[in-house]
Amino acid sequence: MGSLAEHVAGVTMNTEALQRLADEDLMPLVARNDAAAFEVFYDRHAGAAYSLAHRIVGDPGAAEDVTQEAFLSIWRSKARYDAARGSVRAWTLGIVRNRAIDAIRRQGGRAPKLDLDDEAALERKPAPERTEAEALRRETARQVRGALGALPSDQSQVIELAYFGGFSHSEIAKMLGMPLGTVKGRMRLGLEKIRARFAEEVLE
Amino acid sequence: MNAQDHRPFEDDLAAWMLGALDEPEAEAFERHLDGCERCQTDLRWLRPAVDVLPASVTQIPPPPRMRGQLLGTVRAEARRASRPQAARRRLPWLRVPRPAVAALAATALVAAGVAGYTLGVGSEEEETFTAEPSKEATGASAELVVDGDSGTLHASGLPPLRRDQVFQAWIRNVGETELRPSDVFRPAQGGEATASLDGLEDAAQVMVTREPRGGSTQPTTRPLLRAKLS
Repeated sequence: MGSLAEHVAGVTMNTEALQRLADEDLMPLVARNDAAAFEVFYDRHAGAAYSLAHRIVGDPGAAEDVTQEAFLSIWRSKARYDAARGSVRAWTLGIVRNRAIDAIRRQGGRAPKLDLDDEAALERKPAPERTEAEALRRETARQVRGALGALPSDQSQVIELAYFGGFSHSEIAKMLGMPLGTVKGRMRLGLEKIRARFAEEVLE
Repeated sequence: MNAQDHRPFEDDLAAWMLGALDEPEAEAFERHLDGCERCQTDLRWLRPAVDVLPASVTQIPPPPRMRGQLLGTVRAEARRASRPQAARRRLPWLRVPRPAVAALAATALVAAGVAGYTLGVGSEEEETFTAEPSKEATGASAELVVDGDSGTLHASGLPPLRRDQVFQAWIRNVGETELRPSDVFRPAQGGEATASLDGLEDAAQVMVTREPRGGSTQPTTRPLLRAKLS
């Protein structure tokens, strides 16, 4: 039994029909050069992608460049998405993250913010919650920030430096003056705790 | 995979998932991961903890113009892909051995009094065109390698850009005056840059201008480079 997208291959679907498709069913259409399917894919993930790029590169213009590059690379590479490797959202954001890290490396300067809690910034600059999906994302962001904030700071710090700062474990060890094994151990402990304590309520 | 084989990699999984292993270490870990069921199980368990990290950042709506620019490019590329293969623009007289082409091109340059004409062919499928720099870009050089209806522009010695600027390529078709926006790019250190161009099947000229970040729909500055294709 093929996917829904496979059943409708060759048939032009209207936007409303495309919007009802799950991400996993949209991607094969994107791979077949369906610009309308890509549009739906973009609308679902552009906000999260731009927010992540902005968090890493710290500049609206550079975040825009990174996000555009990432989406175009997905379009042009014909979406080599592999469902076995996780959700479309996670795959997309992984591409955005890597491009953003490349961008800060190209600039030669990396200055990751170390505070996990951006709530204050959010309150200072309230962006309009235009859609239900956006409101949901903000709620999820609050929950996950709470989860990360509850980690011991030595664990959240190494996760933050690696994921958002693009630093290697050896660079982090040097920066924080700790053995390599300790850095890796803290990364593992931190991820275990996020998974065990918060993943069920936030992710399931 | 026994426990002894697994132990040296015990702590690498989380660092690898966070992109924090150096290249050789990451490669060694990936080879281990392929054959280690224990690591694969741990990976499946821990993956959602990494996947959720992007959700922790402040959610900011992307600038609306980004949607228009990106989807405009995507729709144009989809239209081109859905068209039957366009008749390839070919200059049959170029299909001669390289030295002969060079001599011919040199003659053409003198005869036409222009620099930046076709200088050679890289392969049966490719054609290479040299771009001419304008006064504002003295010292810059670029070659456009065209294969079918797409091409790659390799430029060097480009003038500096401000942080809020990009270079943008433009395409003018044969018999038209309108310029179509194409790839937006920034040079690496040293001024080397590469741009990817599509929709060159009817192109007469490719140009490069300096534009505000994100690119423009119409050129806002004078061309820095011009490559004549027909």
